[in-house]
Amino acid sequence: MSNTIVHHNRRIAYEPQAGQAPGLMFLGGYASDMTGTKATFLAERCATAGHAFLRFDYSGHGQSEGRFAEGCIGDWYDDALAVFDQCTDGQQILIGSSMGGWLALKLACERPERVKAIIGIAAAPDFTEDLVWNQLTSSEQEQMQREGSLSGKGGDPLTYSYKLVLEGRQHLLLRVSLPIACPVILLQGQKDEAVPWQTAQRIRDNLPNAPVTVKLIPDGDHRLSAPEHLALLWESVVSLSV
Amino acid sequence: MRFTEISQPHHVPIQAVIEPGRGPWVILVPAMEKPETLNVALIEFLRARSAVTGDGFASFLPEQPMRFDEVGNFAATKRLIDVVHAQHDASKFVVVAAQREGRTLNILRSPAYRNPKIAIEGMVEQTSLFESLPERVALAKRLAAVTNEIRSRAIVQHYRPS
Repeated sequence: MSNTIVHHNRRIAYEPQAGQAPGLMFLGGYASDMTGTKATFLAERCATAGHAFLRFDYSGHGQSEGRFAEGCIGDWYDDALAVFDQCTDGQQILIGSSMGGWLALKLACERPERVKAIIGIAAAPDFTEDLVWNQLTSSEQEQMQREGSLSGKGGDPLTYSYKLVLEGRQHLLLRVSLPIACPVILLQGQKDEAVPWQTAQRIRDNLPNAPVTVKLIPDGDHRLSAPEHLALLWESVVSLSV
Repeated sequence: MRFTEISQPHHVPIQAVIEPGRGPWVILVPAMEKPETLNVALIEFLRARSAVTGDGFASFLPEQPMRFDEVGNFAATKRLIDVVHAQHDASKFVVVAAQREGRTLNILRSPAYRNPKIAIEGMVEQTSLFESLPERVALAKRLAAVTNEIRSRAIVQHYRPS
């Protein structure tokens, strides 16, 4: 049974592991939960290495309350910020997968003094606009507006609500330079069918005051959960946690 | 040429070259994703230049040649400047970088990383300037102009009537 905090009348589930600083906080992707391969891998490695670690489920995801279809970027960001503020101490390395990369960058803008570094795994800032809405034909956009959501586009099994797109516009990051100064490592597969690898370069271009290493993985997909990809993830954690 | 191992706090050691001399010190940010031989040759060239001009000079070899590692390159550059500042009382630097590594220079001078006790001038160069002898000579000439200008400015400030 997970620990929970109540935030905006939502019960948010989280799993803390005690350990040394800096702590690691994992921010999962859209429609994923804290029992996924990468979160579990990090929990095991942190337990062995003695690092503090925290993972959680956004509202409507996994063990947290709420309806997934009603959630949007602002809700999930609020969840992440509440967990960060209430359940972690000291400096943290944020590890954001896909949408979690978006939220990690946003969190680093808001809590710069407590974010030691960021690792993005196929980080997908602004995906609701650039990778969902802007990829739809005008008739698909009309359909989404009319029906309130769209699913099955281009073989993508996920459903995206029109509310998600509209609300996401309040949180777009890659339209301006971001005030992030901490080191950032971006792991990005070049065979990622959900997030184009050029996104990592765009993120770097929008971080003029932060050292950013982009690690392109030629055979890497969106999940980056193969053993060699997880090894690269841990190597990145080690290089940033000292 | 001898490299000196500098420990980074909790980081892998840097293989560094430090040639003490007068300020401003010249710091070369090594090129990422390049063969080690290129960086060694450029370091050797600028070290020899420093022996002639008397300018302080420092650089290092990237931990992983042929790899793009801006985080590591930045951390090592910052550490090197901190060491030179602390051990040789240096406060003025000219940081030389190829275009791709020019971001390191900008980040060093950004508010989050700026050290108020030191002044950093920058020279961001075409990468080709690093790759052949005539172009390195051109680089050395530009470097001489920049370092002389900084010294002249310091002299003028020193003797300015109060």
